[in-house]
Amino acid sequence: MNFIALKMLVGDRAKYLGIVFGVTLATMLVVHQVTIFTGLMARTWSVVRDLRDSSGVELIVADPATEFLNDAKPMSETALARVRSVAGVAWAVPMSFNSVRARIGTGGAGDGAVGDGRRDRFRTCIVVGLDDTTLIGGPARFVEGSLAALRGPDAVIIDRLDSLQLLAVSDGAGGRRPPRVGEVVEINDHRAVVGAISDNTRPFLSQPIVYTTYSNARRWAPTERRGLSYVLVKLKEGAAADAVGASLEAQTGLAVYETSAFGFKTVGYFLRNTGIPVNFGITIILGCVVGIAISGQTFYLFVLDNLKQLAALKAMGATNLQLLGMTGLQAALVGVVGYGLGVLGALGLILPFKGTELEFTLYWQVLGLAALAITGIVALASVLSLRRVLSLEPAVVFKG
Amino acid sequence: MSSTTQQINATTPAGGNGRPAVVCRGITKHYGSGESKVIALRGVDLTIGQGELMMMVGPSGCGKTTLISVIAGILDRDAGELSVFGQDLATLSQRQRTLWRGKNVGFVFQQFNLLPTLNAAENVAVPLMILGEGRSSAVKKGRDMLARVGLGERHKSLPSQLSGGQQQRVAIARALIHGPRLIVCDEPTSALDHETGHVILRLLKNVALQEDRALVIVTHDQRIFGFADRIARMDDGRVDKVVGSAAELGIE
Repeated sequence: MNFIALKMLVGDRAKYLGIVFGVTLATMLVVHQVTIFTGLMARTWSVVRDLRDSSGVELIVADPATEFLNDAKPMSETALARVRSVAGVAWAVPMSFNSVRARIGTGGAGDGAVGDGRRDRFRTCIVVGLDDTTLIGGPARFVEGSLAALRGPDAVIIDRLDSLQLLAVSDGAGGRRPPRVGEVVEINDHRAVVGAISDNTRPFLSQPIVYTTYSNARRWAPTERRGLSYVLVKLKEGAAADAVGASLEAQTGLAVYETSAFGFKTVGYFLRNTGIPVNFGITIILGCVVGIAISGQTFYLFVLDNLKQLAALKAMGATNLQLLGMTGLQAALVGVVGYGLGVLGALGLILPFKGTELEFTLYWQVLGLAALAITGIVALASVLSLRRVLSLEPAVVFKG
Repeated sequence: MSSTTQQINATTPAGGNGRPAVVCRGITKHYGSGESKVIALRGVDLTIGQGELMMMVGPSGCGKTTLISVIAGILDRDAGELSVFGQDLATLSQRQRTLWRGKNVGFVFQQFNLLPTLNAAENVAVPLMILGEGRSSAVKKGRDMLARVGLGERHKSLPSQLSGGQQQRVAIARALIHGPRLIVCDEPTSALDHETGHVILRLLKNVALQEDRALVIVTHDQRIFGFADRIARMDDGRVDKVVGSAAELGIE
C-alpha cells in the first residue's frame, strides 16, 4: 500500500509540487528568521562568549545596576581587591568596557602617521581594557598577530571585519582599505597602534570593538572617578560556582553571575526592551501560517481529488488503517521533502554571507525547531484530509 | 411478502454446480431518517447460484446498486437474512467485513476507477497489495492476468493511454486477480460502444465465471441481456421478477 500511496502522490505532479512548495516556504521562513533572531540575540553577548572561550572565566562581577553587557556601571577599583579576597577565588582580573571616539586616518604617506584631519573619519568604538599582566578576556581567534601584541606600547587589537568596514582607512586613491598591523589610529585624541587583527564573534551593536590594556583604556576613556566595569573571576579547583558567587555577593555587595548566565541576562534585556522578539515572532508565525495554508489546502484538494480512488480501494477491501497509513505516508513524504528543500533554501540565504558582517550561525537546535514546526504544519494539513478518508463510504464508487 | 406482489421465478439458479452463492431473504435497507428517510430495499428475496451470471435490471433508483452493495458487504442491511458463500455477513464486524470483501469479492465499476498514476499491471495488482502481497510479486501476477484478458503487451501503459474497452479489461483483470468467488459489476458496459461491450461480457463470462464463482451484473444495457443466465428485475426496492431470458421480460 505504501507503493500505491507514493505513486498516487508523486504521479499528480502539479499538486505534489504545490504541497511541497508550501512546506518548503514555511521551512525556509522558519529556519532563516529563527537563525537571524538567534544570531542577533547571540551577538548581544558576543564579547562575553569570546572571553569565556579564550580564558575560561567562570564568574563575572558587576555593579548590581548593570542590566546588560554594554550597560556596564563603573565600580570602584577597590572592588578588585575585595573580590580577590573571597575564598574560592583562584584569580580575578579587571576589565573596562567603555565607549570612546576613534579617529580613522587617511593612512598618510605610509609611515603610520595620523592623517591630516581633512579626510579623517570619526567612529565611536567600544574599548575593552584587559588586565595589563594577564591580558585575560581578550579575543579567542586571530587573523594576524596575537594577544601578546597588547604588550607593545599603546597597542590595540581590532577586528577583521571592523578593519574592512567601520575602521577602514583611505587608500589614497579614493577607496578604503583595512588598517595594517603597525598602523597608527587615534583613540579619543590618544595615539594607538594596531598590534593585531582578531576574528571576533560578531557583536549586536554596530560599534567596532577595540581591545587594549586596562591601563590604556583608563587613560583613553572619558575621565571618570571609577573606571572598573567588570571583574573576571576564575574559581579554585573544586570550588562551587554558586557557593563562591553567594560569598562574593555577600562580601562585596556586587552582583555576581556565571559567565553564560551574564550572557543570557544580556539577551533577556534585549528580548524585554526591544521589538526584536515581537517582530521576528510575527514573521515566524506568518511563515507557519502561510505554510499551513498552502500545504493544507493543496493536500486537502489532493485527497478530495482522489476520494473516488480511495473509495474504490475501500470497496476492494482496504481498511481504514491502511488508508490512514497511506495518507500519513503521503503527508510524511511531503514534510520530509519540503523540509529538506526548505533547509537547503535557507542555507542558500545564510551561507553566502559567511565571513561577512551579515554572517549568522545556523544552530542544530534551529533545525530541530523547524522540524517540529513542519511536523505540526503537515499534521494539521493532513488532519482534515484524514477525517474525509475515515468518513468515506465505499458505496460512492457506485455513483456514476 | 405475498406471492401476489412478488412474481419470483421458482426455478433454482441456472448454471454452475447448482449450489447457492448468494441467498437473500427479506433484505431491507433505508437511508436517512425522519422526513428524509428513503427506503431503498423493501424485503428482497433472491438466490444467486454458483457458476451463474445474474443480471439485475430495473429503472434508476429501484435499489439495484444498494442490493449489490449489501451483497458485497459494503453496506449493512437493516433486516433480513444474507448469506454469501455460506458466510452470514451480519456476524462480522466492519473491519472483518472489509477483510472478507478484500478476499472474496471482485469489483468492476462503471467508471473503471483505475488509479491514474499506476500503470496497467500495477492497477491489476492492487487487490493483492491490499491483501499484503509484496509489490514485485503482485505486479508480476498482474502482468500475467493482463495477458489472460488480452492486454499483455500494454502492462506498462497508464490508464490515460488506454481506450475505454482496454481500461475495462484492466478493471476486469483487477477484479479477478485475487481469485474472488463473487464478482460484482456495476454497469460495466455503459461507457463502451456496442461491440466493445460485447467483448467485455464475453471476457467476463469466459474468464471470470467458474463453477464455484458467481457473477452479478447491474445494468441498464439491454444489448447484453443475452449473456445472462438469469435476469432479476427490480422495481421500488423489490425483486419483482426473475427470468431466464430477456424475452420473458418482453425485451427483444
